[in-house]
Amino acid sequence: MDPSVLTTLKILITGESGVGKSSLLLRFTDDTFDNEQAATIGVDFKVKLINVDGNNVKLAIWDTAGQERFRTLTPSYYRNAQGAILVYDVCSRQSFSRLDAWFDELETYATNTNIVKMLIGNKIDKDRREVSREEGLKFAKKHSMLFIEASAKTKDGVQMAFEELVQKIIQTPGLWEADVTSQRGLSLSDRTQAGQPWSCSGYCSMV
Amino acid sequence: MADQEDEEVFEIVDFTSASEWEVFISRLEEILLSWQLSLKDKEEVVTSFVDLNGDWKSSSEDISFAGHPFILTHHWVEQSTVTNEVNKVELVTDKKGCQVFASLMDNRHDFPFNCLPLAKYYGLSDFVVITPAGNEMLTSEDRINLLLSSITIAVGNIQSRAPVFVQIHSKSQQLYQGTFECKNLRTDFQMVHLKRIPPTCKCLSGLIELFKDKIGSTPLEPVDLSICWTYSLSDVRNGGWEKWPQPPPDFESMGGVVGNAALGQLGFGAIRDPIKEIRVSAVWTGLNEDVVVDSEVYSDLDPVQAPLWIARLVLNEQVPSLLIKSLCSFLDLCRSSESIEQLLGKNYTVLQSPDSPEYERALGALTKERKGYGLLSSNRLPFGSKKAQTGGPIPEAMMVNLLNYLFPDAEGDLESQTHPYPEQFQTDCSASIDSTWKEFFSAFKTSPVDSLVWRLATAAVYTMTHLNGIEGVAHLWHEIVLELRFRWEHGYTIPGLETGGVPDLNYCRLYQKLQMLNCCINHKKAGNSAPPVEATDEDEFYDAEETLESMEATPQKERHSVWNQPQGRKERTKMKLLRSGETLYEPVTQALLPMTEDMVEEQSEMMEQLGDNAEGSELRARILSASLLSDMEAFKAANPGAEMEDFVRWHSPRDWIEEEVMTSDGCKMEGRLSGRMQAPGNLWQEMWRAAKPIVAWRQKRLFDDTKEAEKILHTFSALRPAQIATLLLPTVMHASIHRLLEELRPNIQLPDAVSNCRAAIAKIVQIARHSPLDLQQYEDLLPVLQKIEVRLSQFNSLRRRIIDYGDWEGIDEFVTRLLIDGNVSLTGGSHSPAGKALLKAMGSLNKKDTSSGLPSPVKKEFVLRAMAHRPGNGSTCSCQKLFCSVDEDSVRLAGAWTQDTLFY
Ligand SMILES: Nc1nc2c(ncn2[C@@H]2O[C@H](COP(=O)(O)OP(=O)(O)OP(=O)(O)O)[C@@H](O)[C@H]2O)c(=O)[nH]1
Ligand SMILES: [Mg+2]
Repeated sequence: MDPSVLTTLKILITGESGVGKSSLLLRFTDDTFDNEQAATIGVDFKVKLINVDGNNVKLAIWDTAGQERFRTLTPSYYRNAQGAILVYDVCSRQSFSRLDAWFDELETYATNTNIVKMLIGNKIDKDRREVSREEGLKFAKKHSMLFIEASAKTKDGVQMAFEELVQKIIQTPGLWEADVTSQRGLSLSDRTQAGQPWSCSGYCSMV
Repeated sequence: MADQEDEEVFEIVDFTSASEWEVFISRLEEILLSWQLSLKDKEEVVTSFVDLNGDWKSSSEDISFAGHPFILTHHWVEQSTVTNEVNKVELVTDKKGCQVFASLMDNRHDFPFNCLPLAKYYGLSDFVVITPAGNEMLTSEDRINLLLSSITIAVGNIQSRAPVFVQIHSKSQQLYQGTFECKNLRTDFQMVHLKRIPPTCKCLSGLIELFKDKIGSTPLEPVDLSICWTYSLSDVRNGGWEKWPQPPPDFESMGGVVGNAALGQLGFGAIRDPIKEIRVSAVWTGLNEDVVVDSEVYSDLDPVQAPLWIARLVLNEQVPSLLIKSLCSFLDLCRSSESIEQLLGKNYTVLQSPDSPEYERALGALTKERKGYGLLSSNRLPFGSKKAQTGGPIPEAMMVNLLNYLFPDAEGDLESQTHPYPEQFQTDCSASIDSTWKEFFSAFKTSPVDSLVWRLATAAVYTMTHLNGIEGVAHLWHEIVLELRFRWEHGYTIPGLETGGVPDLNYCRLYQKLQMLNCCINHKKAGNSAPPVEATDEDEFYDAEETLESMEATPQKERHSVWNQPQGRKERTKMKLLRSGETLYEPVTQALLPMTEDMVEEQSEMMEQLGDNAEGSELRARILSASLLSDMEAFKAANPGAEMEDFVRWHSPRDWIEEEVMTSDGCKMEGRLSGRMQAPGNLWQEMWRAAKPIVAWRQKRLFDDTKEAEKILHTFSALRPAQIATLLLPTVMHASIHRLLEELRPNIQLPDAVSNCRAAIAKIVQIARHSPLDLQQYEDLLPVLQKIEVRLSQFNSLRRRIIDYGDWEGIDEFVTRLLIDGNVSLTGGSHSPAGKALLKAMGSLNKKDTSSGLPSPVKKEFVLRAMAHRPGNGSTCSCQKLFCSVDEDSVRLAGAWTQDTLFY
């Protein structure tokens, strides 16, 4: 592990199918955009190192599929996430009205009670907007979320959204721990009985 | 000042010839000065009342006299602890006054209960004691006198504001002589301790005589009196407490046939009585010799009529308690290293594979014995495998009890179950706990209250503590695994788990695994039964809503060729297939993949390892596409002739874009696949092409119930007792704090217990989330839990005793204050509500019939005071005080005699 990395944060992106979750992520991580971005099957994953306030932070970002049939698979990926991004399409009223259900799911499955939540209204480059900025703001306010409008296509707001989210997470006490993965792994296995069933020491020590 | 110091430097003082006592005096003066006890340059502020039960401080120095080492200690009450506001206002600066004299004469200082003996005898709040160091003892009269006169000189030289005492004779006797001087008045402190009680000391009249004798002159006013008679309510004295109920659970006598009630509950409470004694003192102050008569033949003093009673609590220190004891042994279990086979022998070998002959034998026996399972057996049949073995560590009857507790459904229907599971599990806390605790309880990653895992936890603690320890736990687990296997093999659902369909990741892993096992059992049962009733075309025909359409429809059956009959239709939708115009049916699909936390972790770890580049993404999609393919195949089976467009409209409606297009006949809605679904080479199209019409129940299973169940059962049977205990530990801790809170009744204000509970809950919530768990963190919790348990058992024990003799509104407050403050003043004495109860309690102890209805006091204390001219009539009037304490076999007299050093 890069010693200069302050911490690794787990971030989750959810929202209706087709609102542009994968597109936002790819714009952020690879600065690319594909008009024919394939619909996500199950869940996808990206890593990105960013620098916030002089700290290197590694982001492990999980991009979930919005399609109804995949949704039973995704709740498990809420576990231990420090940040969650809820996306809707400003040109789709329906994607906005479904936010309540997505928010409920988030509340139910997130294990960090103080997980930082962000709402993104995507596709502002398109005309025929169906959801006003005010409506988005209102929803975010009601649920204590960060809010931003963005376009994966034109880059507007994308970088800022992720930076803002990470900054907020870093400022939330008790939500994250500095990375000491290697040492901790050792001391734990020294102290405890070897072979506790069904516990892995790699990934989950990120908790 | 500076000049003076300069002079002193050049003034040669020769100490070479100083005698030993001169050295001692100068050293003593030096120390007293360093403690700032000199009144030379300071006016003393006289505080009229100091709470002697307050915060005592001390500091010490070494000093030697003629080669003998002594320790000089300054004791004082921290002044900030002058608790009573009124008394703070009373602070007076009295230039003529002197704190020591004020203290001696203030009857509010009488009978403190929580201070040094010297403070108690004289009412002093600031004094110095010289004690021989080590085992030395001052016994010779000469030496004592030499020491005292040396002290007198030093104290006089520096005008010490604190009296200085010397401890004499053996230390345990608490005998002191002391001296003090202020404004030409010297007080001599003298003490005697007699093993034989002279008749004069037994009553007040004799003491008054003695007091006056010692003063030598007639006091100015009648002698002022304070009296305190103390009674004891204890189990030691008088054989008294036996009437006071204190039944700690006697597990020894219960042996192997512990009542079932104890099974469901963790033990609680002190093993020995945490309350040693309650002392009740009847107190009179401000009496004088003219108004009260107390002689050997007659007494005006009736403790029942005393204006003030003080109740005091004496606790037994370090009383072991049940919960902590069992938690300790449970933690030992977590650290043990033996396997079940090592503990129980070959007969309990892990059933390795379903093919092994051993497995066959065990199972054969099982199935034979348990045929009537769940139907008629009202008492659980013992396992065949166990019959073959010569008795395990847990006796058979007890084992049946335990198994019935864990798997009550085997006893028969609900009415015949001894311990049915609750209809619904409470996630926060049960009704037996005050609801204010609810909010703290939601975050526990353990198991629901009274669920199977909860019962496993309490049963394991119980077995560890009361039944054969680690061997018992091994035996119990062995039977549990057999039971679970039996249920898996025969399709009986495991009871005591939430029926959510998939494992709930908010609970501990053991709980998830058992839920998973249930998923397997249910999946297998569903898979073996007939395919679900399908939605058929006939249904459509009779559907009222769409009668018109249906009527139009052509006869159904002929539409599909024999080899292309629709199959696995679950529900019809409002959509029509694009090409044929037939109704689009939602297909029956495969059940979802249930996953436990470790599987999720494993999966996401694997996903992560695929990397975050495009290839990784594609691989991930392919791995996760199994369920998509299954959906496509099921869809094709239910909708013969369907196109990908049809599938997308059902599966991903947002990828079906409908737009108004202008045609020659006007406006028309036209649909098409979204760009991303049309894109060439896209995985969706590729899969659609590959998908064959296969109905869900003929598809390759997404969820392999047999593999999962065998995996779990195999892990279960290979667990060492330590591993089992570790899996149960978070729930054991949860159950422990739950048990403690059951004892913390809502109206009880025990601030320390409440705050300790909060701290413990927060800690358990935190550490239960860590995986793998850290035993040390659990160990660290025990002292906090112990404090809570001890405090609560003290409260319970005390309250139970008091309530036997009286119940009133303020009883909880009284008990709480007695427990926290150690003493409670009862104004009105025996007429106060608490006084009434205590009086009744003492009456019940009174075997010898005395007139007051009370037993004889264990201690009588008297304080006598007067102002008198000593040594002669020309002397300044000064304070004289005698403290006397008489108990059963000794008497202590402590006098403070003041005299004028100038005028006679
Ligand atoms: N005009 C415009 N199109 C966008 C934007 N973001 C995404 N899209 C397009 O919207 C479609 C869906 O985008 P995706 O990123 O695949 O949507 P998703 O939320 O990941 O969908 P699922 O994976 O099915 O949950 C794609 O064709 C994108 O090219 C945007 O900001 N502007
Ligand atoms: Mg996507």
